[in-house]
Amino acid sequence: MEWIEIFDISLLRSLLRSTAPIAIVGMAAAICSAAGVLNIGLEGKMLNAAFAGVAASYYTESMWAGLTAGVIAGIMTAVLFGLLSFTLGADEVLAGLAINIFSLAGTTYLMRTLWGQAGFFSDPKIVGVEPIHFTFLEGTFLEPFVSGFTYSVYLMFFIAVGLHILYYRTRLGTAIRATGENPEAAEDAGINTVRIKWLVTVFSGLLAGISGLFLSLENLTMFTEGMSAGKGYIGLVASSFGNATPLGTFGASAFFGLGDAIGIRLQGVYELDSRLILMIPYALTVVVLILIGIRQRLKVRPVAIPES
Amino acid sequence: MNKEIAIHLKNITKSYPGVIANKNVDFQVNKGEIHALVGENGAGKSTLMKILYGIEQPDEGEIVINGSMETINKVETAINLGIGMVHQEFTLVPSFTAPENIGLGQEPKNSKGLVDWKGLNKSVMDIAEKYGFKVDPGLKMIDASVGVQQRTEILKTLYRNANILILDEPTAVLTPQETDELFNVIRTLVNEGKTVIFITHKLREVMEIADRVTVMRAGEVQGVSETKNTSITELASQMVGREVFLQVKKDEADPKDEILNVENLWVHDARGLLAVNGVEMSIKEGEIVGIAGVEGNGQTELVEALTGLRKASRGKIMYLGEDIASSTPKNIRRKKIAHIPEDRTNTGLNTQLSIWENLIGNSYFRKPLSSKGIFNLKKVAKHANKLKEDFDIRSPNVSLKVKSLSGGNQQKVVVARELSEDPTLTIASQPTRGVDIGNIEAIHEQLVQMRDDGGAVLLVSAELDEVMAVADRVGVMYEGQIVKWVNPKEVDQSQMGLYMAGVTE
Repeated sequence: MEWIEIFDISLLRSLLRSTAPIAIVGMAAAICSAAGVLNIGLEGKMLNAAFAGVAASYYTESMWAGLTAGVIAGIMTAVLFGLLSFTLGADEVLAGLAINIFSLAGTTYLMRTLWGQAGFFSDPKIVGVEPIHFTFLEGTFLEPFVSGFTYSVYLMFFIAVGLHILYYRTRLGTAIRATGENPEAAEDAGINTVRIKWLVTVFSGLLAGISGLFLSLENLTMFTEGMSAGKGYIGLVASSFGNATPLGTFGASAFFGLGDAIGIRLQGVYELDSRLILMIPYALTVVVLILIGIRQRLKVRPVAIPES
Repeated sequence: MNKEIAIHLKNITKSYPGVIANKNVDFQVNKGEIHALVGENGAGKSTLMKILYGIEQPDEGEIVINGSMETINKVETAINLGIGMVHQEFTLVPSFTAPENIGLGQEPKNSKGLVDWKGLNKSVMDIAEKYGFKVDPGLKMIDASVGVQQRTEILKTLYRNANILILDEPTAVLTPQETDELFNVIRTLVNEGKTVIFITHKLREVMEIADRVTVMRAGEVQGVSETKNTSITELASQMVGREVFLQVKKDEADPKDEILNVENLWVHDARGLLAVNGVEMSIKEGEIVGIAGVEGNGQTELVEALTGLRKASRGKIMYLGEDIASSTPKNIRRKKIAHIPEDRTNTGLNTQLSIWENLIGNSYFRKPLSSKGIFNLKKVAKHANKLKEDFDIRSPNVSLKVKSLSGGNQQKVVVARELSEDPTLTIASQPTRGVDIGNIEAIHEQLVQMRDDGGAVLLVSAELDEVMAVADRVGVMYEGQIVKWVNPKEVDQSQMGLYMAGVTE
């Protein structure tokens, strides 16, 4: 009986809210992965964007300044990743890890020196993002399903569909996929693979920035140390589970979002220990990685041997 | 007969540091013909084609395409001139279909700016139909056979409006049936007015498909003939060259106990194609067994299987009564089998390391060179300097990087290291490739010395002269089998040329 109570409209709403940050950063990981860029540094991009968003919003008391600053911070971090990996030839994994560590330490340091706060920073002057209410839907049966979310929840659907069209219906998308699969074939066809890699990296910075802003200006209106809490990595796993396709990644992200949402509801129903609930996304990550491993093993096929 | 000339490469010279790859090469292809370019590896045919395709620039010489002089300094220029090249290594995107690969980078767009996949499919299918290709537009390349992949590559050049097609050893990766299909495709192309340059070292294929043939050796053109006026024998002797016949001083062999016995050995190559199928061979102490044959007939895989670098698919390698077919390279070395690999710079040496480090690569772990994991540098230096003297490695000292040595001296480092361990069986693969005459003699003498000291030697070489002069018994390898065993004293070079082409009577 209690199980039935868990599945209702508010679970769906919770699911969408939990899915948004993972799906958006997951699709950033997907487009990088499709172009052959292993972008571990998404976690750091999210964190920097979350921090810059709060800082700009706090000082200007403007939501738009916060959003703009956050997106710019995400892109700037992506440019740093590109400089390290493509211009200076550093290993992509090491460059990404360096950015993650640097971003965690850097935002923590700035928070303490600028505001004298440890752990988290919250202030009434920080202007967050308000949910969007569709007045024309008021009173209709659709209202509880689609009204009252912040912009990222809507945006993630547009990003998923937009990327799907980009991947499969445009020259650029074809070039991105060719670059990831066989760079020599791409170069042979006159595609500048380095430019493609730069392009997807900068775009991933934009998406990671939006995802980071969701955490600090939409879901909450505050910054906490390390508030990305592994979402950048979970996005990488979602991308991998979704074969680096936009819709696949979106679906995998919804799976994580569902786990998150059920956990939150269970907490209310069974009064479970909150630490157990907080563990759910990470436990799911392990489950998904195991599934990816099994799928890989099933995919291996024997080398064809000609008749002699 | 007044034939239009499609390509005329005049007096092309191209040298790399230390090697002249092309020397005053004159190469002419008529419009609408199938022209074979043959020669052994390193003969300069790849360099010549790279110059034509804009990958390399000649030091001297002119390029005339369809009557007008051109400077081809990048691949795009070559493509715009209607030249297309199908490389040995395909450049295809595995998860893309044939049309997706063919149109990559130039996909047609519809009015909304999106890719017009239907339009692309249609134009690809139109070209395919015109030239009699069978294409499944929905098949991904990862699921396609090598033959289909190759046809996709050919279609790619046609989609880019190529009139002159360069096919670089196109049959190397094909099964006999696929080769027949390829030949039908080539004939159709020529009937439709295309010109085809066919690079190969398989002379039988030249006789079957080509109108004319240009033979290269050591960077120079040895001859141009119409295939109807020449023979495999003649081409083989032009290709291998009978002028330089190296004399090796040696006494009659005195073979004793059997060291190695290979039974029905099958080996697959890196692509999963069958490279060695059913080799039988025996080597006794006190003899040098030679393996002759045009390269790419399974010699590489045979040696890799014998030395543990590649797993045999079937068969036995009995060494002193023990099957070593599934043993590891290190264990095989421990049993005193030495290996002089064909690829000196990648397999034979670490060119970034010093001479002494390379010289002790097979003995560093042992006393007196090291003890408890620590080098005894004095002993190491003594050992390295002794080998430098004994094998006449020309270098101021043994601490220089191997990279700084000439090819011949690099090879002497390999030979010194391998022979210093007093091997029971020495497997020498192309031991004198890229080595000058003086050093070739020294290496040959060392192999004969190994034999006279009671060792067994397997000499695999694409240089027919070398095998005939050094070996006591010679097996001719063709398409993965040893098709003929001969006594080198009782057979002449033209006869060998026929065996190497698979004609054994």
